[in-house]
Amino acid sequence: MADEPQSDPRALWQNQPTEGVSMSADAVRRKSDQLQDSARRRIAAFYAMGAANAGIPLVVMWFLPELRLGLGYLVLTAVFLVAFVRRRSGSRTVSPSMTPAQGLAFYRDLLARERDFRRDSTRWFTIGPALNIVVLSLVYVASPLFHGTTAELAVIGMILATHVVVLARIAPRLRNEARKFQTEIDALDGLAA
Amino acid sequence: MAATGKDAAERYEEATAAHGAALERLARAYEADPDRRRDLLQEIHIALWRSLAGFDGRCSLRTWVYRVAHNTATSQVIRRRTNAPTLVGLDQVEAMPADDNGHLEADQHRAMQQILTLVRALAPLDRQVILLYLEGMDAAAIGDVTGLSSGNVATKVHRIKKILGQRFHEGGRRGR
Repeated sequence: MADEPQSDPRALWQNQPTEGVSMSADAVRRKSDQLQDSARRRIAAFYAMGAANAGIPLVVMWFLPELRLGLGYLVLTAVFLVAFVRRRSGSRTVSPSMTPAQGLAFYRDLLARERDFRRDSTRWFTIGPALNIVVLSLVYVASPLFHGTTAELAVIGMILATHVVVLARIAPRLRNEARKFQTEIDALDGLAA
Repeated sequence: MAATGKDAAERYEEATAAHGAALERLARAYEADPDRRRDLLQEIHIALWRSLAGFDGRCSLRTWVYRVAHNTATSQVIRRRTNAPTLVGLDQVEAMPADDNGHLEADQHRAMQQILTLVRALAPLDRQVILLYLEGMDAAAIGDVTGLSSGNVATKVHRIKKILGQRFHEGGRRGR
């Protein structure tokens, strides 16, 4: 019968032509290693950035003891931010031993965690750096290194203005990302309902 | 560690030899775009490769492969949900008219498109159940993979059969 296959959707589905796309064990191992390497590089870059942010003020402290207080504060906040990000960036893989229903619940938790991370980051990555630069500026102004020249005031003003502009752009971006994750969570809840 | 002492590479070869075609069909059910489908298939293979080191033999290799594949595919679909059309449940699909009012010509390609359209419109769990049903699994095996109770699976499978029956047998009769 010409229409027999279509009257049995299971047979039609199982007999559909496939392209025979497959990956050899070697190919998939190579690809997996590449992805892990790139993840490792990203993590290494993050820690290098954290080390630079904490290490450079430490070195400068050695040469400019007058700014020790402000620079010490910078070191502390850099260490705090690295610890904050590290704590929030655990494994994100759905375990294969989970059933798809558990996988969906796990995925929802991940989305909620990402959303909260963005919301918290709006606070910590804007208030933190803003306080940093204000404290550093005040310590500099109070130190014997400051002579009150127009050039010095202009540089401090420029640094403060740049920070205001950059932080004013970062905050709404983080809030938008948090909203995007919330939209995904709502969609997922809608699907589960 | 693997219960039977096989290494991950050996298990991977075994899994793809037995279920490679099913994984390809699964990717097709999740992704209409060929490039994204290829990416998804690759992602599934990598997830499977990574997972097999932890395969402990407490479930069958087939169940494991399908769990990994569905978890990977569903995560990808949800990641792009904001731009996707609204996904629905089986009960809503039941009430929806078929694309061509149930009339399918004796054309396997069109029938296949009809199935794919139906599957891609479904919410994740319903999609997983219908795909496993189409792969020929019984309710118990579908329950093993999805974690749904056998009663829940039976209800869903009953609805799936009804929907597919309405759309395909009707089309088949009209085609004669």
